[in-house]
Amino acid sequence: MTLLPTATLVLLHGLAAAPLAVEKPPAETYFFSPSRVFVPWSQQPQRWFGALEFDTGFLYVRPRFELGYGRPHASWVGLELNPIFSEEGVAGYAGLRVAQRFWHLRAGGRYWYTFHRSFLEPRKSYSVEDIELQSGPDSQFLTWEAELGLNLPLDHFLFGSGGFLAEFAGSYVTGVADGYFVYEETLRVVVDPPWVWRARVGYLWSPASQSKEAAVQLGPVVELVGLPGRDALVLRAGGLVRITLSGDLEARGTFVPAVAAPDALGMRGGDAFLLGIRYRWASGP
Amino acid sequence: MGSRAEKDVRNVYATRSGPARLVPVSHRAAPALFARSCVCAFGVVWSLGAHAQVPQLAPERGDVARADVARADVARGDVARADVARGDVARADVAPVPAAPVVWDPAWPKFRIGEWIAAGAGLAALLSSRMLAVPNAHWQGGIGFDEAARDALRLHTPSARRWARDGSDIGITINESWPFFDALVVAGWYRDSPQVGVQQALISAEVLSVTAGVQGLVSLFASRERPYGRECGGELAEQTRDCGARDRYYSFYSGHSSQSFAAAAVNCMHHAYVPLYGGGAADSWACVGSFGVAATTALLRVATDVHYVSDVLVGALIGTTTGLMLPWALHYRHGSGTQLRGSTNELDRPKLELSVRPAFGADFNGLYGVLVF
Repeated sequence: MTLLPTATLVLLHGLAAAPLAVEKPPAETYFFSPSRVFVPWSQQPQRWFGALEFDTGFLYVRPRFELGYGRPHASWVGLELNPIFSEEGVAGYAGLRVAQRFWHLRAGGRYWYTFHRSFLEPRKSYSVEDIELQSGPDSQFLTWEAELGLNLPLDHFLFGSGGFLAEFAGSYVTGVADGYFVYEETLRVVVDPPWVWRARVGYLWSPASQSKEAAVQLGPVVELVGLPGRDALVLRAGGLVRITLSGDLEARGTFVPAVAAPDALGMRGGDAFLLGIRYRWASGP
Repeated sequence: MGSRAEKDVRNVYATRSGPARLVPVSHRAAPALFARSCVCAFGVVWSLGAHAQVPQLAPERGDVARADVARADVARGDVARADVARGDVARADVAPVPAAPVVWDPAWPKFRIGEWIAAGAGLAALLSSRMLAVPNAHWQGGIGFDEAARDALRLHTPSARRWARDGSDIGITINESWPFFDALVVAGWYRDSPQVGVQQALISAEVLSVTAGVQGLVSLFASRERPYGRECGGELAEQTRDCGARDRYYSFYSGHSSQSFAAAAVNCMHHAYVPLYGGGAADSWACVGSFGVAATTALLRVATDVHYVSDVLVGALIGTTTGLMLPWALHYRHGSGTQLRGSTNELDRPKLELSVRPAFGADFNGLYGVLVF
């Protein structure tokens, strides 16, 4: 439980000790249209827009549609829709988002329809076999969630330029049959509904600030998930890698497995091993 | 254009691979070259030994333009000017640039409409295989050495098998992502050659889609029960997903194995024809590494008791064949082959030989595959 205050102190220290970074040189072109000049999202004119953020990898597809006003993918306010397709099931998220340069706030609801899972009979601990038991009602549920995210770039701090990431989220799970727990597919934890909270802090470091290698960011991440109904915590730790290939395309790697948890869920207990790309598009100039 | 001009056009293509490092291979050296080109790993043999001489390809924009000028000069019969242009490229190649761009040989057809259709058909077949009704009659039990291999390789505790299954998922994730990483990140971003990256990514997607579609349909109609199926109702509860879902009858053949080996094979093809890692040992190790990951993934599928050895062997064979043959037949075979070594020598052309041979001996009876580059 000392992680959060410690992380907050480190975060504040970083803010006080280092100046805010000068924005990196913009990517010059679109990946799939190298002849077109790309204007960084944060420098595009404000407007009404429709936008797409498309995450895919093995084996997931997560498109996110955005409708709003502002600079798409940078500072804007509006509606976001996020269908999810995976081996486990399909889901849809709809919500509102306010995004600024260093922070974002979003709130909305996500409905999950799983292909194979059932609600779970209460237990002290679960294995992968337990969460795949098909003995209860089919697992279909709605999670309301709100999230505050921080993205604070820091130059010449901790071995070069980089930035702190932080996310704090609270979720309220509904639609679960009375007397059952549920495996929350997005948070990847077994929840005694309705409440769950999550806090994630990390530092993404760039090996260079100006050269091509500035497009590479990597660093550690620590995440804590609170399960008030089960009086339990899940601690996850690992790393993130991001490579900005162009203004509209990014390669992403996530390895954040659970390192301490009441359950033994293996790869299903965290964002254990995700490799993929993120493509961004927006209407307008 | 006469025959000499035609020859020079080929040589101009060769300049893209760096004629400064041309090493003609004599017929006397052929046996050594062949011997050097064989490495055994899980019955799969791979070598890019001669690939060690692969130079940096000409930059996608600047030097290609020069090469194109040279080609145009040759077409006009101005061979001397073409030689000068070649010389420029060669001199530029003396001091290799770490992130030098790579090129898509104009002779290699780009991704075509028919391939979009093939890739779509593969996905459609995969989806259909998950929606069509599972046959009522199931193929059960092992064949040949399946049962003996299961006894030897199957992990004994559920938790160990679960770890092995997670390991196989990580393995297939690595291998499926590898060719896309190399295409988009290494070629597209690091080497500033997005057109090459896009072509290679599309080819990889096509290979994996077709492989998945074929595997989905075959496993649906074969309807072989997975090895753990005999434990359902005993060691495994009938209500588990493993026992209760249709997935229980998708044993033949292994999707993880066919996908991993297909990804490894297409990755090898890309590295064999385009020196994404700069050529030489680095590109060879990309190939060896991806086949190593594929073999490990296949082994873990047996250890975790979701497949018989025959499932993973057939998957490996079909995946490897698809991953090698599709990109070669539809794209790379059309080139002069000079991107591999910067030579027009017939012996230097990339060779692909895939064969399965029986082996009998005191310690081993079975089949092994030989892949020779």
